[in-house]
Amino acid sequence: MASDDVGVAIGAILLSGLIIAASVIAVIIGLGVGSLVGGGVGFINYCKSFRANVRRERPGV
Amino acid sequence: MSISATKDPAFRSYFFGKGYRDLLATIAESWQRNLDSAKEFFDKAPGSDDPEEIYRSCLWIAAGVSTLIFGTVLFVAASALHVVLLCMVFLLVYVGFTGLWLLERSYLAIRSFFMACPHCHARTTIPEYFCDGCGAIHARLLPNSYGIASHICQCGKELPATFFLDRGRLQARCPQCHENIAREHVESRRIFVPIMGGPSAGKSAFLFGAVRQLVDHEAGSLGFRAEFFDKRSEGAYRGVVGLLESGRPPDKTRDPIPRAFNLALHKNGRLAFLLYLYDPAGEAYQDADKLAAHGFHDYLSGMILVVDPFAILAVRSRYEGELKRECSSLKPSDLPIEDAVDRLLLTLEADFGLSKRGRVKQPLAIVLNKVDAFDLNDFIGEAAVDRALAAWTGSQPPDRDAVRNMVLREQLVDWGEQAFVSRIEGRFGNVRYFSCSALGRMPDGSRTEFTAREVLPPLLWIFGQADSASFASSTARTGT
Repeated sequence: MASDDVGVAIGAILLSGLIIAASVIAVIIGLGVGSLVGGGVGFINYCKSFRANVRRERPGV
Repeated sequence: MSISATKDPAFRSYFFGKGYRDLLATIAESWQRNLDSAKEFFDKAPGSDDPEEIYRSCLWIAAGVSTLIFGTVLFVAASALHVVLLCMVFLLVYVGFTGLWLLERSYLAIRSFFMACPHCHARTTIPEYFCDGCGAIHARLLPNSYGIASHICQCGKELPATFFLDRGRLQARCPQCHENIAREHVESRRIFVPIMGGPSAGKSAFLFGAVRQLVDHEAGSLGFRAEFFDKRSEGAYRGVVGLLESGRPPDKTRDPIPRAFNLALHKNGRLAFLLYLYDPAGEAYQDADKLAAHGFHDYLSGMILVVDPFAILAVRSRYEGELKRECSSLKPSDLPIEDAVDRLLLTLEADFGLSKRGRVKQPLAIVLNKVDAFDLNDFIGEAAVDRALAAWTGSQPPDRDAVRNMVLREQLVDWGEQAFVSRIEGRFGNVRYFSCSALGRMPDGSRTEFTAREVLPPLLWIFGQADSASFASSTARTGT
């Protein structure tokens, strides 16, 4: 009987660990994808702004 | 280099103006774009109970939140990088033009290159330059915030901004009087010598007599080829020499603020020296205000004071009878000799930084003129020097120039000019006495040519003091 309880406990711990690991991985993936999307959008926006505003003013020589 | 437009006819370096306006505009626009992007994502999230739509909404909301968070992080990082890069290039440009500016300044100082205007006598480091594309005037064509080595004119022409890139090829003008300036008035070795003295002391005759001897004879023996630098100088020379050749003395100088008489001395086919000789009207020495306009005192190489012996009371008394007969031809100067020096010293103290007890470092040649008159040759001419040499009792053979110096000094003292001699020797660190006949003979109404005598040694002595190596043979001749 005692060995069954130990087995359940181990199973519960393993399951919890699995769930936690899956959550962490999901968060990491979410952050990664989010940073790629957000960072990419931010980068594109900065590039567009840079291109629109930074230019030399001189006549053609 | 990037540049932007300013009020100056050149474009200011991008990193000294427009770069920072662009930075602010980029930051502001980028932030606004991030907000707009995030709003666009949020607006795309459909409001529905359908699980699939809810899932899609979550994705758009996540994208909007990501844009707000990570877009802002990237925006901050990109802005910081932009600021750092801009500042780094700004520093590089600043260090670049400061270094080149210092190098050029040092080089120009070592070579004694500066602008000396022959018209108004203004002194500046460099003149104003004309753009050779559109003629716009560039007042400070130096390594600065408008460009390190070159400036871009607003017409688009690239102009050299340093001596090392042949800036001197551009037409220049004086920033003060706006007269055009030849390159040699900035970039050449120059010797500046004013011929001073009261009215009718014989300054013009002395100047043109000396130039005539230099051009016709002496320049060649010194290894130079003398050439008039401009048509104005040549015209003035031809005019006066024409008068002298026909037995007429030069006309009275009217201009109290003279333009420089420029003579070029070439050696081995290159300009070695540009001489600036100034012949102001003697009336300038009767008025300290007029002397203040003689800006060349700021950079002169030496001075020649032409003294009319008949301005000395003792000489007038001695030749009273003769002077009554010859007054119209001799034209004795009515300015006491110490007055010219006193006014000059006052002007140097008031306007040219000479302290009250300071000594003028530049050499001063005191030239007693009109040695041809009556028997003055026996007192201040070569006859007096010969007599002193014959009477010499020292063990060493005397130097003729040193003896002449002594004879003339003592004669001035004997004529009661001790105060003048003391004043001169107290306030000038390097004084030498000479005598000459600027016309060569007394004006007697005849048309016999005037030929100056002993007018060149004072000038050559000054030249030798300015550059002993180049005028070695002349210094040997004048005993310095």
